Amino acid sequence: MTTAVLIIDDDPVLGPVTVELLHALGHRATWVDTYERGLDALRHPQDIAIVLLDLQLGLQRGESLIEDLRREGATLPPLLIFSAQPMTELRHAATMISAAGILQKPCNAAEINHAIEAAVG
Amino acid sequence: MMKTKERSTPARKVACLVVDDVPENIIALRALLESDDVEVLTAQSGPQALEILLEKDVALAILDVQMPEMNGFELAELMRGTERTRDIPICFVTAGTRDQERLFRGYEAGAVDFIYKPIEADILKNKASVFFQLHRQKQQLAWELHERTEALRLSEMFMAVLGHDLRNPLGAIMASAEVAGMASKDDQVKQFIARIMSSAQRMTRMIEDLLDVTRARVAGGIPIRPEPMDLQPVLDRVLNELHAIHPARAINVAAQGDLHGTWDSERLAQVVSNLATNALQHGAQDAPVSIEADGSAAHEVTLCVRNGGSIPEHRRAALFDPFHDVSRMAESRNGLGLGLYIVREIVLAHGGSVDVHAGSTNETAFWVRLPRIAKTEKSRNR
Repeated sequence: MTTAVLIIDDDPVLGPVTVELLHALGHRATWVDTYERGLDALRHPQDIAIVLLDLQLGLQRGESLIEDLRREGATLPPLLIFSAQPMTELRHAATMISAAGILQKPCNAAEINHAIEAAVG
Repeated sequence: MMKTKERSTPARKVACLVVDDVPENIIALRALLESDDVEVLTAQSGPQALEILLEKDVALAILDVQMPEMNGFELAELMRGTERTRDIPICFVTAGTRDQERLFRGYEAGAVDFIYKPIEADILKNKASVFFQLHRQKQQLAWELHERTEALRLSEMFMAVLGHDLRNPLGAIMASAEVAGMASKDDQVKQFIARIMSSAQRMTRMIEDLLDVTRARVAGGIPIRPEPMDLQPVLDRVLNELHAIHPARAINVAAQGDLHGTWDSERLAQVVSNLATNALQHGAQDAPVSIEADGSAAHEVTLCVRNGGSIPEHRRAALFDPFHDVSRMAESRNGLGLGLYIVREIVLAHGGSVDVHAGSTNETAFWVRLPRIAKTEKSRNR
């Protein structure tokens, strides 16, 4: 099953590599690396089936990106937390923004695939 | 660039409080005791002295016994009754006889000395200087302790940040390796990729352990989030993971009774996984490893992980405490040897206990007892 994935992650190496990994797994993937580009991409999320969201985007937080969009009234696709922070923080963030799942970095292809399938259904 | 903070050393100057209702006596004592290193604070009454003591840290209090309203003994008793002033050494100045020493009942609380009028300057100076010296040493120790604690806190915070930052590049390594593996049909390349992946996964586990240990040491325990759960699927999941890593080994799981309880499922998976991995690595390689869960009792569930082979006597004492057995850390090829320490911290956070039986039977068994509902108040988590 091909899924359209948006990756919001400020890591200049991990972002593109994750795009390639998702392509290799048969998904379509795009990557944005800043809070603002994340906002832009998610204001028109018609082509996005799921979002991999990093929590630390430069000095800004992934959670506030989502909260800002919801305040604007945007309808968002399912979210997967994609972060290297401790599990307790990831769980906390997931509850806060009602994420569909959690991927703690580093994770392998099987884990990413499994989380995407579980979230998209 | 961070600005280098100037390191302050403890002040050399100490304060001495002189309390006497006769101004001439105060002048005389000040002349005797004051120096570049000693500041003399003075009060003409008990209440005035207590006011000074509220603000100042004093190395010695010299109290005249005969004062109107509040005498020296009464002042001393008030000082002993307050946490802040309880330990201040007291030197009474009295014109009376030695019998008077019995009038003061606060001896057990701290140092007390008596000086008789007429005051002999040398004796008073010598006595006072001993207390000043003690006070300086106390300040020095407190300062050193503070510095060390701060250094420790910084290094553990650094460890936490480093652990976190390492995960991003590790993620990139793993993802790149997997993309390369999927793109290649070459078996040798696939073998290399498999090695990159297993090494990266080992590093991930080490970082995880390091962060857990740092957390346990800084926060005074590993935080847990207990929720109603079933232990059985956790055991099944760990068993699957262990089979994948050790395909040639026999691992048996046996469960009986009710395995429902209120625990942190991720953390319990870690407990089972750490104990079993330990058994697989350090136990007899030709004997099976067994994981037994028993929920027959209403109030608790026990977990037992057994393996063949026993643990040398000299290793048992420090088994759960890698920081006291540096040789073991150095020997361990598969991590920092922190697994059992983490097991103990998680079990303690649940209000449970963990024991090892490694007798002469050539079998080692680790026993974990978990209260049916985790007693989290013990864990001091947030």
